[in-house]
Amino acid sequence: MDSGNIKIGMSKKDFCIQMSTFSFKNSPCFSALGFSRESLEVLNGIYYPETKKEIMHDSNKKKYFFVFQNVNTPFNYRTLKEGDGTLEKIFKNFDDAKVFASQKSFLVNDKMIEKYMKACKDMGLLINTEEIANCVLKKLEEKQK
Amino acid sequence: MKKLKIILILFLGLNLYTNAYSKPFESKIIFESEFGGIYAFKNPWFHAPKGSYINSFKEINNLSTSNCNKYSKKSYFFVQYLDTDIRSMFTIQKNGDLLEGKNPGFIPDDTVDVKLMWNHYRFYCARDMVELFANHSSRATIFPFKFFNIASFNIPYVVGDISANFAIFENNKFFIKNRQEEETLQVQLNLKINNANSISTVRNQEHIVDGNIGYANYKNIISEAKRLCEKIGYKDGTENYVSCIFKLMNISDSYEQVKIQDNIFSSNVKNKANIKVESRYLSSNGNAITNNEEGLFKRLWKGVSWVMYEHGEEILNLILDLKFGTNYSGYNTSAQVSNNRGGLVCVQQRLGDVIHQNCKGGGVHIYCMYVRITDMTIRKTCRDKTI
Repeated sequence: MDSGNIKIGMSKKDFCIQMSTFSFKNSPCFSALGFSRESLEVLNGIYYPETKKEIMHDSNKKKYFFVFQNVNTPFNYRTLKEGDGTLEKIFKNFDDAKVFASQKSFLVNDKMIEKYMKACKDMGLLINTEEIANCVLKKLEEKQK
Repeated sequence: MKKLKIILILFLGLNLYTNAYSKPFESKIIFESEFGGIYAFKNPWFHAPKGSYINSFKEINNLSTSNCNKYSKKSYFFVQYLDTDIRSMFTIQKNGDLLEGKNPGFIPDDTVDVKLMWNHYRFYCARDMVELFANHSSRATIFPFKFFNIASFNIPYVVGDISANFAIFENNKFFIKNRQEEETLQVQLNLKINNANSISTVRNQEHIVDGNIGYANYKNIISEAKRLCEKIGYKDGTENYVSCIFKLMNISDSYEQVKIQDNIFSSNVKNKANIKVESRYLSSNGNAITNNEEGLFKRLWKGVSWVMYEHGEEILNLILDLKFGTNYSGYNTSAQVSNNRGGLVCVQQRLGDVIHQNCKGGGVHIYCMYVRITDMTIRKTCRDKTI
């Protein structure tokens, strides 16, 4: 990390190549290696399929938490296949990394709603009724088809 | 002597073939908390009188019920339907009866891998279905590994992470419930809120942990969807209100997915060929779609995501061909090339520095055009052409 070889935007494959110079326990890509029952149960990474983000960290010092974005295939800790994705952000706190990786964005806004509210109101529907609510929702759904 | 023989036969008969003298095995509380408990009974070395397994399980079930009652909760355990010739110690029938050595039937969530000769059972305490499913998704943190773990060689005769069915003990009777039937929209919504920041482990077919799956944090988007649904006119707590929340989240999601696919594709192209991809999307009438009020074209986004997912590698090769004049794609000709992948038929044709692509499937027709703008830039324009 301190050598500056880890860069935002690098692929997970490149990241693991750079990290291979570390000892097993200090590398997020190798630290899960182990053969005891317990070690097979405890893995370091977390993959968020709904946000396509993945957190990787080492098992020793837990100093850095690496968040990858656009991950369709997460790191496989058994086969050590990297999967995909690019490094998006580095955290020093696990909770901050989890909040960042798990956050979903909402893309429907007031402007869209108001536009269809007006259209439904112009049709003679009264505001604050289920009729106008159904009308607005229907229009929103129709628009996406 | 004859009398003694009769008594002995009667005693053995009762002992072996009825429940009358079948004492439960030695049982123990292994672990307990407000979220659930692990209980175990010791298997006999040789013969188990008929009814012993059932009575032992009932005793364990009582222990869990007492624990959950302390927190004003009900006791649950997950079950799996076993429909094989392999004999199980006992099964729970659909009508709630416990039967020894009788398949098919439901087996409870247990393991024999923690301690030799001991069967460990995992129970959950919950006030309602939301808490039950939330606890189930947090089982790795609720139940210590050393008290409940399953070795790979035991599958598929264990419940493990399966959660399709569960059992509840009420009025002295077991009731088998189906998770899908119990998961109403309201339960699903509450689960999305409760599951924020929780993590569950995923196992492969050998039951070995493959990875940790984190749940997305829906709190913000649910509260935003709630606000908009109320603004539209739905009243809090009604079925239509909950349904509205889901619909708004789906609308939002469809656009987000294509952005993710686009980002993956663009970063692949950037990594492999150092080319920047500019993406443009057009509605069926040719208007540009942007990430604002016109961003709700689910069919186009789904279609484009599908094309990128199924044909991403081909498109990447096409782009490399456009830049380097190579023929990785095999399309270095003006002839049309057709590919069918994942139910999506795509026909591509390269004409000079332009590639035309038409993809059809599932009632969707997406047309994409790839144009080389500079040596470093490709413009991708996709349009919904579904009639």
